Amino acid sequence: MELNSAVKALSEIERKVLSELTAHPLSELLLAEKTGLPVDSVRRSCAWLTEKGLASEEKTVQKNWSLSGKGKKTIQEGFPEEKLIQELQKRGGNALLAELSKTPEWRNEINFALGYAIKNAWVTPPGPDGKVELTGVFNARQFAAKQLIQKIAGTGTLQNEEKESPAFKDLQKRGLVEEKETVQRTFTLSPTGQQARTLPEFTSARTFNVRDPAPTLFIGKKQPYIQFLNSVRQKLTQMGFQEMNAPLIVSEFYNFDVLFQPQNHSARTWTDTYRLKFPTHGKLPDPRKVNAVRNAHENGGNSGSTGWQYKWDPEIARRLMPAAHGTAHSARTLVEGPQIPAKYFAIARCFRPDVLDSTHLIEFNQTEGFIIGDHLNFRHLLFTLKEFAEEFAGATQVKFIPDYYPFTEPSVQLSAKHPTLGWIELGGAGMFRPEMRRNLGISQQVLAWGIGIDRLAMFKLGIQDIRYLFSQDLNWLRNTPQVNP
Amino acid sequence: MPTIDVSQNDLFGLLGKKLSKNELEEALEFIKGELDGIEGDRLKIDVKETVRPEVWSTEGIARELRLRMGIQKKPAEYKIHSANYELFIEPSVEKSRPFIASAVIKDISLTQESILQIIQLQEKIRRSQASKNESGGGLYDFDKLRMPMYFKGLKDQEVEFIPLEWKVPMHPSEILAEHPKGKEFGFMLKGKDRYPIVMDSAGQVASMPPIINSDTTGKITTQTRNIFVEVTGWNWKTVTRNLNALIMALADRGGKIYSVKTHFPKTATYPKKPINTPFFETQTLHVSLTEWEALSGLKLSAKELMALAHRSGFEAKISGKKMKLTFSGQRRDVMHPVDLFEDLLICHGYNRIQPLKPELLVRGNHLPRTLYLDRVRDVCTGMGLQEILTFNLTSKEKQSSLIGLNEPLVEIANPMTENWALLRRYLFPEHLSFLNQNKRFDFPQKIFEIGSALEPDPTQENGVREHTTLCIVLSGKGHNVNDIKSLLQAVCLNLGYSFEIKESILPFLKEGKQATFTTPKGKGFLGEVNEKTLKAFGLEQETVLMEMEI
Repeated sequence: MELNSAVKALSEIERKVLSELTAHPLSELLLAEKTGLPVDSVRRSCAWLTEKGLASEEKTVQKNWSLSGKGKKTIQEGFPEEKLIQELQKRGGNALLAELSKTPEWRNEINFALGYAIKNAWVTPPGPDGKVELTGVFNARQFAAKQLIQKIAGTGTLQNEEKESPAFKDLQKRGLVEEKETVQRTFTLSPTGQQARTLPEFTSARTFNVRDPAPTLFIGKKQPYIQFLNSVRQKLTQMGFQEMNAPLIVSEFYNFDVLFQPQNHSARTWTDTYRLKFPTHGKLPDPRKVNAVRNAHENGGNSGSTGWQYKWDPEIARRLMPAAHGTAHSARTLVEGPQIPAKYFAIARCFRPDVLDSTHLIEFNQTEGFIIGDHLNFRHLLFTLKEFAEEFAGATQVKFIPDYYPFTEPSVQLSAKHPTLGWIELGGAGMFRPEMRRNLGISQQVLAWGIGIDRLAMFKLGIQDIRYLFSQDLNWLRNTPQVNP
Repeated sequence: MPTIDVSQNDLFGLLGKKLSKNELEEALEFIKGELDGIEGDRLKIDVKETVRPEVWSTEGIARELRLRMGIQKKPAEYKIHSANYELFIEPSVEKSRPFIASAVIKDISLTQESILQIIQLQEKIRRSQASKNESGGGLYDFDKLRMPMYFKGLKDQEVEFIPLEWKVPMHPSEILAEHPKGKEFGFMLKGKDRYPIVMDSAGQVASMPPIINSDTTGKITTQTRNIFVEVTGWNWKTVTRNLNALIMALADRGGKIYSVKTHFPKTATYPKKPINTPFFETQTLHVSLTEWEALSGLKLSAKELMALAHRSGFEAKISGKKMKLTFSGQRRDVMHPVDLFEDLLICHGYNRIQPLKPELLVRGNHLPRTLYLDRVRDVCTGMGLQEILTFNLTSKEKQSSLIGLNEPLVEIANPMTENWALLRRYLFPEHLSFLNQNKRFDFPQKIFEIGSALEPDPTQENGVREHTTLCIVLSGKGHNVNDIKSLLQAVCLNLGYSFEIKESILPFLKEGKQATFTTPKGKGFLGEVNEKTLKAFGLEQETVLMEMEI
């Protein structure tokens, strides 16, 4: 029964190879020839068939003699001693040694060739006149070395007595031949294989093995964190929020000054925020708006506040920085004149000096915005926060905790009970201070909010390491399922 | 945000009540405090009140909570005695560090814990404010000083003393160069030719504020009974308020407060007449109940409002729609009635407030650009590409030398490391880095990203041109420039753009296997990455790329 199902599952190429196997060992090369398959496919099929017990494999190590590089050259050009004899024959049987030495093409070999020919008594040693002469002993038909080297070049196999012959030893000594080991794999049909070929399953079509993995396909898809952010955007627009622009580089004017953060505030120091080395300064908007912000800082302007009571410096406000928080974009919307009533949001890339590790990013996204309209109060802000907790964290319980932001009063932190994560700090919010809105000509209350969605993103994507939001791991990206909104 | 280290037992002692962890956490909300850690008796409390130094100690936290929790009905009052102590500010110190406010505390008995608290408070004050608002304080063994005191500016060679934890006398410049505190805080006196020195009538140096006290008089131990306290700085209001923060804490530990009459030089910087320090002022604000109701959305009875005001530490008087609130002069954070409204709301309890649905007729919307970019994403995923996300911050090396370019870049002035020292101008070097980290995974690797690319541009309000860029990179055997051009054609076809293309000689692409092009959305380039660049990024497989503004 097992054999039946094994045979049933054989692939087309396995079948072809199995059909050609015999009780005699056949090489891969031969099988490839018989089946018409590429050698690689035959090799793989043979390995599978052997593993399944349908074939058996034998390895034989063969030692073959073959020509060395020098040997190949020799067989093309002839042996030096042979060339010497031919040269002497051309010259009528004898020649002056000095003249022979002049022939440029075998000048290097003449000494060896002469010594060899003299040793075999084919040529006489040079006489007092410097002449060498053929003895007539050389017989081209009996030039053993040449016959042997031709045989090696042809088949590579030699008889034992041939291997023992002085001529062979001579070839070896002269480095014209070398021995090589080759592993020859042959395959024989095993008794099980023989039986398999008789089964009806062998001739019927192969069935698809449902459990075998099919080749992996990597599809084109959106980055998981992008998918998550898209779903956040979708929810916010459904809740009536409209999206704001969020440029990466802003002036301190929008990042701090509009938000009533005094210019000597500790959050504006070198260690808490980045600054640009190049370019360093941007431009300020409409001078009336700039003046409104100056007044808010210096004396509260028209807001009924004392302000911070210091001399506000527009040069500091012009300094450029990568946005440190998303509220910078709300600030810009307020300066440029928002629609009223309206709900705004931005998903903003923010930058703060930090070290990249499993809980900190060097740049991150902040989701924030504001609601503006007549007759809005703190209770409306709390409702909005509660709605966020339900929408984004699936929370049924929320807690509101007093908080501090330089630009809101009152300020509140939103804590939400996530069904799996438990109580999490989900966001910060507050009502924009009168100093900032009234001086910009906004009499309505502005409910500002920000929610920390990265923690929720990590939960949704099932990751512990925050760096995976910007994953550099292609394998993870390929194998992460589409994000459930 | 200051983090205060306190002893739980000490806190409960001063509070007059023991609290469970939950009760403590809730109580801390009154002062925007958060329990950051518990280790045995030690608590770490983050206090978000960044402009109220009087709550940055166990004494201050307890003082505030006693009132808010109703343990104490009225704010504590501090009686000030007089014994005709005097301090003279000399004109020589005006340019170095003009102001000093001081007081004497008598009959105090300090424990290790209360010494720890007062030193911590001193440190938090010193570290809390930047630049010209900075101020710092010191405490001295009063019995070792001879009244009156002097505050003067001396040249380096005119003064030497033994700084705390040191053995030999040093000149100020030596302290700044060698003493640990001098090295840490020396920047505060940078560029001054005279050093501010607190000295007594016997010519003994008490300290060189705000750097270091003298070892002789500037040491407080559990044996110390009488203390001289000073705060120096650049702003008279700040130094007097910070002095009060220290004095209140010492008085809460049982010390009696004695005033010091401060005499000023006759210049425009200073008040005209001598002033006795410390002094506790009150402030008054008339607030509109209509405004309160509009902000809070609450309709509370006069009685309820009065109760909230008292617990917030305010004296209150209501007449019609107006409320007169009188409160501590320490409250530097109060600039507007909303600052007091928040106190009332916190005392009322945020969680007792019923949320109310805002009824606004508004419509939500994506930016058209957001939707467009997502369409570009759809086109790319349709071509079988995997989207990746890389950081905007990167290294100068990747954006210049490794790709053979030397163009102006948007650089960070204070990067944490060279790896994140600027904002990228191109996306593709980040993608080549990405490929480098994924060499062990299956090829071909086909990735894309839609992101920002920045270049300096003085004509822009924010000094940079930030354009959204699409980058596509294919890596694996046999990829050639034609493959990437096919993708460009597909992108343009599906977004409805025409494009014009021509030969180029970019240094990171193979010669004769590259092009630049323009579309109605901007410019772009494509081609086969050359050997040199592949090697620079440690890549072996054939790689083609394109980057275009969209």
